[in-house]
Order: sequence, then structure tokens, then C-alpha cells
Amino acid sequence: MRVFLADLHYAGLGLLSRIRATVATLRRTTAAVLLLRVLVFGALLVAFMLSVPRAIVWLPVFPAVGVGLALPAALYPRTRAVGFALVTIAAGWLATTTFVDTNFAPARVLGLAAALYVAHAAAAFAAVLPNDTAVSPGALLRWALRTSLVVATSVGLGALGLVAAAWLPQAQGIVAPLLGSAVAAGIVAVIVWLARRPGRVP
Amino acid sequence: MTSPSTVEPEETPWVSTRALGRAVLFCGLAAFTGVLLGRVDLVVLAAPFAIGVAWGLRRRPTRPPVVAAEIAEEDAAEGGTVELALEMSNEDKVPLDLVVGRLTTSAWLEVADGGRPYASDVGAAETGDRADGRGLRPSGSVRRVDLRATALRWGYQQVGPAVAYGVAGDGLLVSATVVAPALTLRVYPAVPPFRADQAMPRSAALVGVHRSRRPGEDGELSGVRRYAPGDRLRRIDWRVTLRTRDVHVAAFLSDRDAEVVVLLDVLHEVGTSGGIRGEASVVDTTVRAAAAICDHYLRQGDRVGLIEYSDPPRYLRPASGRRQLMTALDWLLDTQAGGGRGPAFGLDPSVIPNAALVVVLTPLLGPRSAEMIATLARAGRAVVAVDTLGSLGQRRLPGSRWTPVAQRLWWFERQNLIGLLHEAGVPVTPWIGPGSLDQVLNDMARMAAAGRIGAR
Repeated sequence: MRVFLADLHYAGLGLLSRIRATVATLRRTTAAVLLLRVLVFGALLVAFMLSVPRAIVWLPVFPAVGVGLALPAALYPRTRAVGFALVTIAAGWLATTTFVDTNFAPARVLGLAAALYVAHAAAAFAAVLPNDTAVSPGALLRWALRTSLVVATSVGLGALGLVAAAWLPQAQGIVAPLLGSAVAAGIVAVIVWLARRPGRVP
Repeated sequence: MTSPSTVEPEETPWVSTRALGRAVLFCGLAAFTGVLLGRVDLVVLAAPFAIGVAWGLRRRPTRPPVVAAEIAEEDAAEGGTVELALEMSNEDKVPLDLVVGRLTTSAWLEVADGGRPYASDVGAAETGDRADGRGLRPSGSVRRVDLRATALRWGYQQVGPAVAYGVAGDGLLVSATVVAPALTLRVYPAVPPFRADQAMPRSAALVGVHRSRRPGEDGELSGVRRYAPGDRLRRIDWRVTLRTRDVHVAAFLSDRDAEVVVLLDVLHEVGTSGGIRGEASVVDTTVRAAAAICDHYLRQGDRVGLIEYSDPPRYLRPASGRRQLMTALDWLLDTQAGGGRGPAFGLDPSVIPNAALVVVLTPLLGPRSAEMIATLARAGRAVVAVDTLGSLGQRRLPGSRWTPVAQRLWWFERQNLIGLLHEAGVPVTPWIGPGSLDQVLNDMARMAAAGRIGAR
């Protein structure tokens, strides 16, 4: 019993030191890094809310699930949690639009695309920054401008594609394969290009 | 002083991050499913990722960034501020989204902003006239972070290594970590205020500032006496001569310099150093006291030498002047606690000049220290022991109920040892800064004078 109590005492001390270390880490966290993490969380939450059916989005369980997806990604942007959240939300969108909201507004899919990309980009930036990094405001501003540019271009092109598909309902079966094939070709080109260079290929 | 960075030759300069894999995977999944199901909305979801990857990888850097640590001065005083800099530069023609650098420092250097990493975007290097060996001029693509640190403790303190890595393609590519080696900063011990106004018990050559016991010229007035053949006429005190009707002359004492040997007993370390703002350990007190004594006597023109009582002992031969003070301070930076091991063959008293005053800075914690002091005293050296343990010896130690009893017994034993040293003619005085040595020097001078009178 005495040994057990001593072990318990040491375990408590270890836990206390871990808590102290975590508090110290949190206290050193800078505003820029916190902003990026909040952006990851917020963007994923918005994306999740856009991906679930409108009729049941305000049920208490859905915000909880959204937080459950977004929070690990925001806390651990270097891990697979971000990729998992992105793929889960996209799968949710596919299920929602296939079985429930078959007629969705173009703004909703464009908003979802923008939110997913912002979450990804913010997580990519946050992943390379230690928690206590002092980031120069100029670097953060230029990142925000580049991300906005990518989002604006994508939203513009996506809107064009959606409008074209809506105007040519008879050609809708052709537009997706064409655009998809173009994107797939681009991905293959990127992978081939990476494979021919030194370094790790994802 | 600057230390430029190097990168391990076997490392790849740039590698892709998990974000690139994630983007390609998500993009591929969404595009493939879109094609398969004929869903444009899924292709729209993939579009920003495809555009982001294409945009990010359109220009890819090939060289890692360069990092360097810099210190404005190679030496500083304990408690003083030190200017440091972390310099991050880009030698590639592709601008970097971020260069994340960190300058690590010794724990005894308190960096104002907490020693955190710094991240900044760095522009592309330009080809210019003032090109380096690689044809690039990185001066336009340099980010410099100026830092200020406070030196908390004496010794050789490390500034660096500085490490950095670059980020490109909006976080899709990251460079290998580059490392700049550490620089060494000499932090000299704080010199506490110290004065010793009393005369030295022994003196050496017929120059210097100490009033000696011997008559001489142009020193301190020692009195008026009757004229004797050989006295200079200009020494005649006319007022006394007219009053007494006998010729009297003023008598003076000669001024002499002294030789001081400071012996540092660092066999044991007690207490934990808290730096300049915290509690001083025994080695801290020893080094600071030695610096103060050296500073005082060298400024007076005396010759000062240093000996470290450790295994093996270290010596600094006695010399005088400003250069000796700097040499002594440098020498003190190498002082380390010896872990209780003394010199295998003891300390040879013949290395200490006969006329030297030996100031032993000792915590008096072991028999070896007492033996060493007694040996020097028996060899005829004028020895003063300065107790460097201070209040550390009276600190209450954690332990069982018998610990205070054991501590008290140890304390009595130590007091007994101090008493034995007194009996052997070695005064022991605590280190209290100014005037620490005055009383004992006065006693020693009196004892030395009395000895001479008796001998006559």
C-alpha cells in the first residue's frame, strides 16, 4: 500500500509538471500563431456547417461534431488531423448533396471550397511555425494576400464552371469529366515533377 | 563577431511538407470522385487546392537560407547587457515566404524577448556588382533581429547555435535546417566594492603605496627626531629646532609595494548559483571576492598572483598593472568546482614568494583545505583565510529529525577547525566585501612589528 501511494504521489508530480509545461507553452504562444490556429478552427467549423443538411444543421449534435473535427486540426496542424477533417467534410458534403439537399445554391459550394482551402492553407502555415514564434506582420499580410488571391481565382473559376453547367444542362455530364480530367492531369504533372526532383515525395 | 551557418552536405536542401501531400491527396480524391460521379461541385472543391499547389510550386528555391549569430562585444560584465543579433538571409533567386530562426543562448544569458523563434519573409537575392563567390548579393535579402540579453553569471557563456529553416510555396516546401555554430561570450565576474586600508604585514620592493615599517624618504611622516650625521639639511624641522634649541629633523616611513597571492579553494561547491540576481554559491563568492581583491591591489600598483587549489592546481604568476587585472579576470573564468579532489601532491609552498600576503578564499569544508592553510602558515607565509561559506552554512537542510542535530555537530566541528587555524596564526574572517581584510591585516601588521621588536 505504501509503495502504491508513493507511486501515486510520483504520478501526481509528473502530471503536475506536464500541466505546468503546457501552461508555460500556452503562455508563450504568440498572437500570430494563435490567429492562424483560430483561422483553421473557424474555417473548418464553417465548412462543416455548410456541408451538413440545412434542416438539421442546428441540432446540438452537429456543432459538437464540427468542433470535434476542427479542434484537433487547429491544435495539431502538423498531423493528419487536418487531412482527416478535410476529407470527412467533403464526404459529408457528397452525402448531403446526394441524399438530402440535391438542389444546393452555387454560393454554398463556393463558400465550402473557400473555407476548406483557407483551413488547409492556414494549417500549412501554422505547421511550420513553433508556438512561440514572433512572426513579422508583413509576412502574415503577404500570406493572407496570396491565399485571398487563390481563393478569389478559384471562386471565380468555380462560379464560371457552375454557371456553365447550369446553362448547359445537357452538357452537365461532360463538364465535370472535362474539368476533373484537367485537375487530375495537373496533379499527375505535379507528382511527376516532384518525383524527378530530389526530396521526399508525399 | 559573427558565425555563419552551414548545412550538412548529405541533407536535401528543400523537401515537401505534409501540407503538399494533403493538398494533392484531397485534390485527387475530389477530382476523381467528381469525374466518376459527374459532379461539378466536387471539382469546384478541388479547384482551390489545385490552383494553390500550382501557384506555390511555380518557383521552387534550391538553396537553403543562411543564418548567422552575432555578438557586438566578445566580453561583458556580470549583470551587464549584451547586444546580440540573429541574421537570416536568402541567397536564392526565389523569395522565401518565411525564414524561421532561433538563437539559443546559455541559461545564464537572459534574452529580453524570451529567446523565442523569429519568422520573417525574406526577398530574393539580387545579382550585383558586389557579388560573393556564388554570384549573388544577399545584402538586399537579409532580415536581422536585434536582441538584448543580460549576463546573469560570470564565465564563458555560449551564444548560439543559431538554427533556421526556410518555408516556400505557402508552406508546401520546407528547407533543411541550417546551423550556425555557437559563439563564446566572456562574462567577467562582478567586482563587489572592496577596500583594504590597512598596511600590508609584509612588503617587497622599495616602491609602491603601502606605508612600511622601515624609515625612508618621501613617505608618510612618522615623527620628529634629533639630527644625526647623514641627515639631509632639507629635512630639518626649524620650528621644533628653535623651540628645543637642538637640531631636529622630520622622519619618514618608506612606501613599498606588496605581493598578494590569492588562493582559491574550490574543492567543494555549496549552494546553487542564482546568478547576479540570486543567491551566490561558494564558487560564485570565491570568484567575485578574488576579482575584487585583484582589482583593489592591482589598482594600487601591487603585484598579484592567483592559485586555484584543485586537481591539478592552476597558477597565474604575480605581476602588476592593468594587463595583469585583465589576465586575472580571464583566468578566473576557468574556475570550476573540483568535486572534492585536491592536488595529488598537495600545494608546494615554495611557489609562493616569502614576502607575499596569501589570501585564501575557502569555505573550510574539508580537512584538505585546513591542511593546506596550515602548511602555508608553517612554511612562514603570511596567510589570511577568508571564509566564503557565508550564510550557506546555517541554512536549514531537509531531512529527518536528526538532520538539524548532525548539522549542528558539523557546525561545531567547523568552528573548532577555525579555532585551530587561529592558534596556528592564521586569522579567519568572513567575506563581507569592503573592509573584509582590514581588521586581520591590522592584527598581522601589529604581530609582525612586535616580533621584530622582540628580536632586537
